[in-house]
Parts: sequence; structure tokens; C-alpha cells
Amino acid sequence: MHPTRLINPLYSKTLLLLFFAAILLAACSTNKTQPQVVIYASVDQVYAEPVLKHFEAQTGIKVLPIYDVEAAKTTGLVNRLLAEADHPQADVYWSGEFAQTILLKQNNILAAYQSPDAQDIPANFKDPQGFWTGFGGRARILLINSDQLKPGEEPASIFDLLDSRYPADRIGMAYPLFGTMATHAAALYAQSGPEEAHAFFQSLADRGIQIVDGNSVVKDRVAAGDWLFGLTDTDDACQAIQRGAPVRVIFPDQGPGELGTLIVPNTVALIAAGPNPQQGRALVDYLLNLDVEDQLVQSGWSQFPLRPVKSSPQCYADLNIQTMQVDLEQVYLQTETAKEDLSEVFLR
Amino acid sequence: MESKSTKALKQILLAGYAFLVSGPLLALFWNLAGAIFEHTISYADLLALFSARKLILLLNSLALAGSVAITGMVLGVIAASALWVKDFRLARILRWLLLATVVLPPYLHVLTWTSLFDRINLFLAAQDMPELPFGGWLGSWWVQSIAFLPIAVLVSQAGFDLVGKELVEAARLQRPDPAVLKKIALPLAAPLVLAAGGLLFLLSLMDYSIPYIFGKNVYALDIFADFSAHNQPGLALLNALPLALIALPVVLLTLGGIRTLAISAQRADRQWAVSPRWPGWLRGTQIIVVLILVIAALAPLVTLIRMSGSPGDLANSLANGSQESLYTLSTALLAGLICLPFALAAAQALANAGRANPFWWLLTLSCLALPPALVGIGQIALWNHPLLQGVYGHTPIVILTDIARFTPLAAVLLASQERRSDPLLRDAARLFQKNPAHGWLRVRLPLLGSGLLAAASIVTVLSAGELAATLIVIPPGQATLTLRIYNFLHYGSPEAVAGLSLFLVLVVLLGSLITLTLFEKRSSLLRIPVKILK
Repeated sequence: MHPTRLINPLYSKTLLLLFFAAILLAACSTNKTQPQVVIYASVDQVYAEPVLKHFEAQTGIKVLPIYDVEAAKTTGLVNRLLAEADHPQADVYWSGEFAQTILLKQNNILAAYQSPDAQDIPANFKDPQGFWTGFGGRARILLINSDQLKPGEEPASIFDLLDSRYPADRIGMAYPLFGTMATHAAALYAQSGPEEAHAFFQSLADRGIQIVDGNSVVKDRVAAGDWLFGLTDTDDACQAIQRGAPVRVIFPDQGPGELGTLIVPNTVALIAAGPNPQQGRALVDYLLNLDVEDQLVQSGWSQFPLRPVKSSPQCYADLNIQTMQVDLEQVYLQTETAKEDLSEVFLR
Repeated sequence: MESKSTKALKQILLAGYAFLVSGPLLALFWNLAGAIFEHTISYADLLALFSARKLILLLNSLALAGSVAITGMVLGVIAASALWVKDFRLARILRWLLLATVVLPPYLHVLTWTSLFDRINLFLAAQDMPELPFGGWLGSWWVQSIAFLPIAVLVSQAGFDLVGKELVEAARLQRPDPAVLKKIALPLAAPLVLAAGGLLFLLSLMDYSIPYIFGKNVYALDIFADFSAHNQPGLALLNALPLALIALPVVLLTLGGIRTLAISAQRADRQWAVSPRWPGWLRGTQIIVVLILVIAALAPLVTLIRMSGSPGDLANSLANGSQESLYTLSTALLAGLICLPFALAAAQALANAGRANPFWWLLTLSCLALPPALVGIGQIALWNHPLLQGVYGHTPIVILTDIARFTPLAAVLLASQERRSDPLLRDAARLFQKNPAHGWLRVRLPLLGSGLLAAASIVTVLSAGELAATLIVIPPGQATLTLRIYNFLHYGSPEAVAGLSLFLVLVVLLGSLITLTLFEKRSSLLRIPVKILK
């Protein structure tokens, strides 16, 4: 017998079998007969997915979403949209905040579209030319561990992060370079001026308060009692409340003449020259519908609807608060400066 | 002598390798050139690369990466020396179990070790003993070392496997076993041990997630922060250059060992017919390191099982992630298989001592050193064209991105395997083959089989766990299991994260089991013709 024949060609057969099985599996996961719309969503998948499924069921338009992940530090989908500028793949961009959306407008990624469903949204939450529209806001709040801080000991302002009553190693916030914490920092730069805002963050860094990986970690640390309090978002705080953690929410800077609490709206925009413009507009209309804003309040993603809705926000009884009066475009204009500046302060 | 058609095929595959792996890098350099030409990157941006702050971050990164690489090499050598002497089943099971933990998100490694140290410290506190320090740089070093340890052990084991049987047996007649280990085995295994150190150095240098969770800043995070602030891929590439310029010489120095080895290595069979007699201190150290390995492999799994809640929760998580699981499995498997011919062609170029050899090493290592998010951006620049819409926007782009990221690694692994295949068998194949394809399928492919399977397995496993580049290129409406895990991670749903991660590990283990079974069958079948030909 030829010696090499003793070698069973098991490999080549197995490899070929695996190859065709994998192709079959990959092929099974595509279906293109329905009308479709592509959405890039920088919103937590658990909140966005039910909304998009409902749109699918209602219109028969297949939604092809891509969700951002926090690990990409908000650079994922925005950079993808910028890189795809010559040949856009997406029809709609839905963001959990506004600065990145305005960045896309400045880079000519967005198309102007004034949705009929957005007429009752306040003008300060809409782009005057219709390149983006805000809806379903969240707020930046102080989350307190109620076992650790009794009434009267609680902070009332974000500037209490500098108060020596609270040990620096037991209070904190997320890195002000990514996500809504970066937007909050840019808002402070816009409101107080770069010098004052820089001095505030420099003092926080000098004091050595805890800086962690994202708002959800802030929530976890406070809920576990490792921290007395931390700066985070209302949706994260709501998760801790719903899980029965000993926490309480303080809306900061509510005194006369104080800054007020920053509201961060969701934003939605139509992509210029997207592959399915008609379906894209239908999805934008749907997302800006009052019912969706209500649905987002019910799900716990939004606590500050920009219009009166039927449902009461989960976790929060009284939302009659003083909000930070800041122009969203001005906040965007400070974003790059703030990030560059704060990289110098916090990345050492 | 090779036929013209064989040579042409090799050249085509080599060109394909160069295009697939360096395409994103070239696209980014093109972007950088455009940005400089249009003055969107200024002299101030260039000067900022040399700031004191960046220098300190760079030094932090180098110190961390250096310590992780040294730890990996030391633990890898000790573990490999313990697992080398006997071909016992536990060693092989442990090897694949360790490989499966490579796909776990870094967060889970941090969680596992933080909770383990918390328990140890609670115990120590109850005994009035001082607590073990854990956190900050120390935590970053330990968790990175453990997270990358499987790679160090696997590559170091490959190094020990290459030590010639004849040399060991001859030396054992003259000297005691510890001296054989010190004077023969270690120097011969050193090139691959150093290569393991080089790979760990590179992986640590590129990873910001673990130090970030421990509140420590490294240079890779600064690249990301800069990218987030400016959204300019060219500038991000510029920022990554200092890291690459420092990393490349270090890695070239360590991987240089592979080149020597690849050119000079002999075929190895089983060693240590009679069990060695180690001194007590070495045996003790080996036991401790193997215990660390067992804990490193099992602790994350135990953590996942504890976190995944009730069987109902687990079933729910798996049902919700079934579509993503299928997608991940198919794309990762295709990437692992398709990369093989390209990796093999590159491996031959890496193993040959020709004039082009340094070029192929430089190209391979440069592509390995590119931050993953930038690979994704480069892929868009390369493939998002109206004529290529069948590729971009569809599943092929995910596979191509996995190939771009991990084929260089497969090429490096296959480079050592390439010269390990017995020249006698190759010569015999040339004599007896009906045509080159016949010789390839019947002899060359089975001879390279273990290396090909190892390379395909590693590329498949790493592709299944890939996040940053996949997010940039994933087709609309699709998601991988890793993307879903990270989504739940942010939402704070530990049961879902644990359930899906456990499923990912099980899929990898199952794949490993199949690979192991194939390997066993092939080995036993291969021995017969080897004996006849010899």
C-alpha cells in the first residue's frame, strides 16, 4: 500500500464540512424581502429594542439596528457614521444625549427633517433647521447612600464634591471624558466658562475623589455602601431604587441663583443620503411620537419627558425642579475643549 | 522543486495576506496624510505627542506591560515544565480550559479576582492577620497577568515540545535532571518563551480596560480619549505611533527567537520516558503554579455559574441570545478557517531566511500592534465602496475584520510549525505524489494539521470574543454574543451577562473538545506512516 494513503484525510473533510456549515449558518441569518430601515442607536439596547420591535409590528418595516456599547466609550457608532460619510449605511441615528448628534450635524452627516410629530417639543430641544430633535430627557443627579448619610448630612450641590465633610475616597463620579459625564462637564464649561470649570475639575482631581468606569459603576458603589454619594444619571439611579438598594436621589443645585440640574435629552436625526430615506422618516416620526416618549418613561429610560405624558416617571415622585439653563449648541462647542482639558487633568 | 503553479499560488496568497492584514493600516495612513495635507492635524497636535503627561502614561504602560510579560513568562515556563514531562490528560484539559477563558470580557476577570481576594482578606481578618493588598496597579498587574496567562502557557508549552528527544535523553545520561532542564531544555525552549513574553507585552500595552476598572491610566486609554475628543482616525493613528514604535523593537527582539527556532528546529517526539527527579523547591513551585492555573481556569467559571441565577434565568438568557450565538459561531468559525491559507503563506515567508523576511515580520507585527477600533475604521475606508456593498454592510466584513485582526497571530504560530514538519516526509511526498494537490492533501496538510488546528482554534476563539473592531463594522440588524454581553454589562444585568458568558465559554470548550478529538485521531494515524518512512 502507498504509505501516504495510511494518512486519513480526516482533516480536509472536517475542515470542508465546518466551512460549509459556517457558511450555511451565516446565510441563514439574512432575509431581505421586507422594506427595511437601518438605525444606529447609542441607547441601551434593553430600552431601545422594545420600541423598535413595536415600530416593526406597527408598520411592517423591518428595523436593522446596531447598538453602541459603553465599552466603546461613545466613540463607536459616531466614528462609524463619520467614516461612512461617503457611502452612508444608516438611515436614522438615535442617541441618549445630544453633543455627539450635534457633532454629526457639524460634519454634514445629518439631513434636515422637521417631523410633524415634533411640533409640541420645546424649541430649545430642537435644531432650528431640523437636523436633530430632542425627546425623553434624563437628569444628572447625586445618588446618596441613605444608610450612610442621614437627612441634614446630605450634599445639595455638585460643588459639595469639594466639601471636606465627605472623605474623598468615599465619593466620586465617572471619567468626565466619555458618555453623559463628558456632556455634563461640557455643560459646566459652557455655563461657568472654561477657566472656572477647569478650576473645579482640577480641585476634584487634587482632592482625589474617586473616578470610575461609567455611571453604572457609580450607582453600584453607592448602592453597595462603598461610597457616601456619587454623580450619575437618573436611569442608573432608578435601577438601584428598583432593586431595593438603600439609596436616595438629590437633584443638585436647586437653591435660588444656583446652576440647576442638567437635563440630557435623547436626540434623533435622519442621516443624509441614507439608503432608505422614506422608511427613515417614518422611524423618526415614530420615535418622536408622544406615545414613544410615554413608553420610554414607563420603561425607566427617561425621567424628564419634554412634553406632558400619561405615565409618571418611575422612581421619582416630584419632578418639579430647577433645570440648568444652557444652550445645547453651546455645550457641544465646549465638548472638544472640555475633553482635551480634562484629559490633561484626569489621565495622569 | 516547486512547480510554477504552486509558486504562483503561494505568491497570490502572500499578496492576499498583505492586503487583508495591512489594508486597514494603509487606509489609516492615507487618512493621516489627507489630514496633514488639509491641515486638520496641526503642528500643535504633533507637539502634543511629546508632552510630559503622555510620557508618564507611556512609562506607566511600559512598566505594567513589562511586569505582565515577565510574570507570564515565569509562570508560563514553570507551568510548561510541569505539564511537559508527562502527557497526562489533565494537562490537555487544562490547556483547553485556559483557552476558553480567553473569550471572557476583562470585567469578569476583575470581578472574579476582586471577590476572591475579598474572601481571602475576610478570612485573614478573622485570624487577626494582615490583609493582602489588591487594587490599583497591583490589581491591574495581577488580573492582566492571569487573563493573558493561557497564551503564555500555550506558547511556552509549544517551546518545550520543540526540545529534541535525542538531546534530552543524551543529556540525562550525563547530568542530573535539574541540570538538563537548566542547560538543555530551557535554552532550547527560550525562543518561544520569549515570544510568549513578547505577545503578552503587546496585549498588555494595548489593553486599557483592566487598568481603567482599577482606576489607573495607561497610554492606550489616552489614545481612546483623544479619539473620543477629536474623532479623527489619522490623529488616533499618530497617537498610537509612540506606543507602536516602542512596542515593535521589544516584540521583534523577543519574537526574533521564533525566527531562529523556526529555521533550526528539529522534529520532536515525546520526551522523558522515565519520570524526572526534581529538587523539592522546584516541585513545590510547580505545584503552586499549576494550582494558580487551575484557579485561573475554574474561578471565572465558578463566578459565572454563581452569577447566572436559577436554571430558568440561564435558559432565558440563552434563548434571548440564540440568534447572536449562531451568528458569532458562524463568523468566528469562518474567520478561523478562511485565514488559514493566508496565514500559512505568511508563515512560510516568516520562516524562510530570505531577504524579504524582515519585511514580513515588520508587516505582521505592525498589524498586530494596531488598536482594534482603528482596524474597524480602516476597514470602512477600505471596503465601504458602492462596488463592494456585497462585502461591506453584510456578514463578509465581520469575517474580513476578524481575519485582519488575528491572521498575523496565526501566521506567527504557523511559522514555527512550518519548519517542525519532518523534511523526510515532505521529500517522500514529492517523490510519490501524483500532482502537487495530491501531495498537499495527503501529506503536507496532515503534517501541518496540529498547527493549522491550533491556529484556527485561536483565531476562532479570539474572533468570538472580539468587540471594538466588530462594533465598527457589524452589519445592521446583526450582533455578536460579545456585543450583547457588553450591552447587558452596562445595563447592570449580571444574570444575563453571566448566562451569555457561560454559553460563550461552553461553545469554545465544545469547539476545543472537537479539535482535541481530531488531534488525537490524527496523531495516532500519523505515527504509522512516519515509522514506515523512517
